[in-house]
Amino acid sequence: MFRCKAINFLFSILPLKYWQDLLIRRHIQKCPSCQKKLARIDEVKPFLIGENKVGSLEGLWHGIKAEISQGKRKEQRSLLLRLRWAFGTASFLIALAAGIWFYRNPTLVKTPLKENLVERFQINYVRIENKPARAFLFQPHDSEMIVVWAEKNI
Amino acid sequence: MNKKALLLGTILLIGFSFIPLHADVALDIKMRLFVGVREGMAEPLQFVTSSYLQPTVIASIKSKFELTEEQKQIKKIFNLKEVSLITEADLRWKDKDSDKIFHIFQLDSKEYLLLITPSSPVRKRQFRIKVFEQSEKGKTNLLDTEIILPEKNIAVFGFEDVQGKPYFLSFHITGTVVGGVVGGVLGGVVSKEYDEFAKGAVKAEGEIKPPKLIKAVSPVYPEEARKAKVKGVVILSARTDEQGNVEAVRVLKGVDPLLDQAAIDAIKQWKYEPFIKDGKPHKVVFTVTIAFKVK
Repeated sequence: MFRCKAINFLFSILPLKYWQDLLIRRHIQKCPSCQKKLARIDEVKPFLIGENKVGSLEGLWHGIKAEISQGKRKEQRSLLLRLRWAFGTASFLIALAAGIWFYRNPTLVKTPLKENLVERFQINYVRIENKPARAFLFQPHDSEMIVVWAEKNI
Repeated sequence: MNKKALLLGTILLIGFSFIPLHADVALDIKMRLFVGVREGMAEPLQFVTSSYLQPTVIASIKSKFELTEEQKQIKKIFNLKEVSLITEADLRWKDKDSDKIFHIFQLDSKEYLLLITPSSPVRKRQFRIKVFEQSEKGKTNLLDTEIILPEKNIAVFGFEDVQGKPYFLSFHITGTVVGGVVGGVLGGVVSKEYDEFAKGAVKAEGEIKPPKLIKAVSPVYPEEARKAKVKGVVILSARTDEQGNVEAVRVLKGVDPLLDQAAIDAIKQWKYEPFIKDGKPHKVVFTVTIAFKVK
């Protein structure tokens, strides 16, 4: 029973209608529990109405036409409603995904790349043989080169 | 049906949000090491064996700071007779990885270890640089410093080895890459060729030391190149067999076809100590730098 429900759900999420129909039909042909639920032909017969029982056919097609156009209007209204729901849900989901993404990458929100860059050369320390060393700085004219000469403290 | 589609959409969207979608920031740095020659000092060796270099990056990144300009400035500031390039490497870190990069080179029967560690995230451009000299007497720390390096600058550190020979280590940022790969296609093509080259061999990278050179043949300066005053540094990848003989060579960074060929011809006659791992000899790939100077 649960298996049938799971299979039906998986079939329904398939994007191609053709495959849904085919897979559901194939499942019903093989599944005894689903077959039990199907009505037999003799059970369905009383619900079918023959042409002779309809009586006068005058005005029948006008009635059907009116019914169809009313149905179409209903369908349009429900389509619009569904579109609104889909748009609302999609916006919510995008906001949710963005929230999760920023939560997982806090540095991207707090420290944009450009702001985080240091534009000045900086030496924090210079050591030689694990002892603080002397450092001499040179910067040649017209050059972005910074030369540091390190030597032991005597 | 609609409810089910929405449910599926929600599951997929939440699922995707857990995949790291943000663009990675990668930092590329060019590192060069020079040796200085003071008046009265012996000329430095013409060739250096060093750690394996990733050829993709070497091939694709063009430095905005010219090698000759760096040499000229160092020579002028320290009044040196000569400044020679020993080795150069292109280093890359991704934003959140702050792994140490080791670069080992052998010069005058001594071994030098460069250790560069960025602070995380690498976009801070803060690095710790350590240089060690390893000799029979032990390990000496020649330099230990921490810097913050802006993109526009080139930082050069000068220091002396135990014998007082001056060395210069330069760093500059060749690119901050937000997503993507610098020189993507070119890098990919080159990488495939070099992957084949290194196939089945141990890469002398990280803490794996390059093998010790036991027999070297000096390259013959092609007469035509000498007359035309063609000079420069050729960087090559070499592969030794299980016995330590150089069995294959590839040019990583050439100067001129004549000099490149002269370098290849010389290296193919060299012999290294066999590379032993887990008690067995292995093929190994590493880098060789050969300097051609016109006197």
